[in-house]
Amino acid sequence: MDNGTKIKLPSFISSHEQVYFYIQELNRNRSSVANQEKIKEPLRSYLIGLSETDEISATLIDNFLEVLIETKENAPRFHVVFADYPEREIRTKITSWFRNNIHPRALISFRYDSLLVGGLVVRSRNKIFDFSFRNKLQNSKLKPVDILENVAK
Amino acid sequence: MSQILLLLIGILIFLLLSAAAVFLYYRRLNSSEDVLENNSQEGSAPSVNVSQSYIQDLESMLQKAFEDAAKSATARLETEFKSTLTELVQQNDALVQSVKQLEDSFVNEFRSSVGNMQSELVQNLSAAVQQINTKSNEMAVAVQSLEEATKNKIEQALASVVGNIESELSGTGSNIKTQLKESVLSAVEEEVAGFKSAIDQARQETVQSLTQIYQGVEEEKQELEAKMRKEVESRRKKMLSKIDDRINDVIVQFLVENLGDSLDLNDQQEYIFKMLEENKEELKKEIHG
Repeated sequence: MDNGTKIKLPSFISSHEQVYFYIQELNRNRSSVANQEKIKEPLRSYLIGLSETDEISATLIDNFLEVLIETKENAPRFHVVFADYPEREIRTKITSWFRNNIHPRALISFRYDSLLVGGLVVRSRNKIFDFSFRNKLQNSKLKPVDILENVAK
Repeated sequence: MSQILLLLIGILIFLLLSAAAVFLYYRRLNSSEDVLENNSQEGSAPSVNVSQSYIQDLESMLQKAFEDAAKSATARLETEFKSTLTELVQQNDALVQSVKQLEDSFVNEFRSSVGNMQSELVQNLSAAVQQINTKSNEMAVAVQSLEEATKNKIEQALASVVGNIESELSGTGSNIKTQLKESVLSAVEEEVAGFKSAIDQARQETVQSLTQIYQGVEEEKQELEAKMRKEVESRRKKMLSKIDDRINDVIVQFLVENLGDSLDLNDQQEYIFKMLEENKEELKKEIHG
């Protein structure tokens, strides 16, 4: 399992910023075994899960760093906006869905905008997918003005 | 005058002296010719040098005599002129004094005569004023009596004239009354008829112009109504489009304000994943395209 090409990107590392953060973390702690023990959760548990022993080898760290650097430079990025800031459970579910259905190393950053009312908006590099309730209201066939006109008559 | 006389005397003296000088010159010239003739008769050769010097002497002598005469004449003239000038000045002063004396005496006489004349005039004037006053009083009395007499005469004449006119008028008054009545009636009828026709014409014209005005007003009213309807319609459309622009924002804001946290993300999960599944291919295209 030490081969970097087979390592999956965990769902708790969802955004580009988190990738950058964990690259820094691993670079700081890869020099000695004592330092390796300082690697923070949940990355530590994840790396132990990947290891065949109970220890985190330097090779595993290097392989995972390679995956992170590769992800940082080449992975597709998406911005997902909700009406409220999503809890971890939803963030994990969304990230997993993107990585299972769109790209295995897709990076998702989460934002919120209360004006969306509900639903979500997905923004890629070139396009915006608006699945928000606001958009549904605005594109509704039954326009509020028509309703008002009917009421006035 | 005396200066002119002196000048004439001087010129006369100068002319006499000139004539004397010319006479002397010709006399000397004749005597020299005689000498020349005698010499030629005696057979001796004429001495040209002697005659020429003689002529020159004569000329210089003549010139000197002429100059002396001129000098004495001018000196004499000057002395005479000065003496006459002093005499003239003295005469002038005496004349001025006598004129002044004359003037003073004349002024005094004039003043005394004017004073006499003034007193006489004042006396005459007061006498004349008294006469005028008496005459005017007499005239006033005469005028009053004349006025009374004239008044009486005019009253008598008027009474007789009025009596005559009254008798004449009583005869012709009734005739005039009837004629006047008839003529007045006919004139009034004519005027009334003309007035009626003028009123009818004016009424017709007024009615015509009023109908025209009414038609114009009606047309304008219809135009204004059409314009107003158009304006109202366009404003309504503008307002609706404005509402259309803003109403969605208002509704969204309303929903956000009212729903708040009650619209939970967990409740929306089904919808969220449904939307993602529906647009999965589009999302993939974004990455691979």
